[in-house]
Amino acid sequence: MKTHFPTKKTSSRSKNPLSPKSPSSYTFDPIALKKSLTRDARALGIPMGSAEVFIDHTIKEVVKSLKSKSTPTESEVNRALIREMKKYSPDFVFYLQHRDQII
Amino acid sequence: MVPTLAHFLLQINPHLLKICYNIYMSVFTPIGILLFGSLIVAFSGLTSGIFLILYHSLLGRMSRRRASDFAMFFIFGVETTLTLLLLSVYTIFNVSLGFINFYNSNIFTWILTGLLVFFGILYGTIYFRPSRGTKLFISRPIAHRYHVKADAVKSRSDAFMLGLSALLPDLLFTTPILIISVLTVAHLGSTPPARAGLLIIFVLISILPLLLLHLCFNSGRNLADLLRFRFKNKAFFRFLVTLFYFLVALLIILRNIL
Repeated sequence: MKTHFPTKKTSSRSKNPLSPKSPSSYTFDPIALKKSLTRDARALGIPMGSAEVFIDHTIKEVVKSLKSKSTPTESEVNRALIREMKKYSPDFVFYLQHRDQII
Repeated sequence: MVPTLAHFLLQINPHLLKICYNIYMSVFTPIGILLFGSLIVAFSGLTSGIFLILYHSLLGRMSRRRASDFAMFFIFGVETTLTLLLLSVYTIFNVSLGFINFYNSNIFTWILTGLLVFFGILYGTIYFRPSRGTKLFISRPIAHRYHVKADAVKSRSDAFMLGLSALLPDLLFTTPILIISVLTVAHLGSTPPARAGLLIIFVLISILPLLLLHLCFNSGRNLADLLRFRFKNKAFFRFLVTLFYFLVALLIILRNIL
């Protein structure tokens, strides 16, 4: 005689609707960061030749400074970026400092 | 100066002073209300903020010419929303309530004046968040959503849709201004074409800052320059808009009491 046990379907999407919203995750990706910074440099009217050089330098330095942290947070990456970018472009630094304060 | 002028007019013709007074009250006061109303809508910071984000995002991805083209569609979107809102208010008041009686009613005047003073104070206190930069009253997820939407603009229709939605959160502050402006237009313009003309002028003044920002970007200014200007003059613009609210309230009182 066969007995059927009710099987509970579990999917990754089934969540408790009452649970608080999970915070958005941030993963430090130097390639994506370079792409985003290049786009911003272009929008800010910085010549692309020099922008690519100083963005490469900046990302190298940021990666070096964040080596000790296993999972750097977004604000840590931003702080390191602004610290390094101060050597190259005041406009870029101003934009990085205030990009989330526009609206 | 004014009493001397009044005496002079009385000496020439006793009726002239009354005529001048009537012209002043029936023409210049409503024009003042319309002008200050449109300036309130113009200087509310949300649309210009979203426009800055959009233009910066566009310039990073495409040529200046294409970005300028898309930005114009954003401005068309804002213009369309504002026109539709004004027409909706116009229709509601025209069909259901009737303009003239409503505008001349004393109770309505005091309610409107009270609302304007209230919204003026509200604008001065909560429109900008008390922090560095020009963070506005909208919730952070909505602000984030605008950033995401601006980054996702890939066509003219996307830019237009963003423009359509950009004005909506500001309605919390601008609804009484829109109502007063429509009532004033109905009072000032005797024929439908005259009313349409006044509404067009209202909309054009309201989108003037966006057109100026567009010109700035086209002339080579970058986002950092414009942000510096915006941050530096935040308190001034806040004061200006609050003052405009109070001025509109004062003009309504003057028109109805004097």
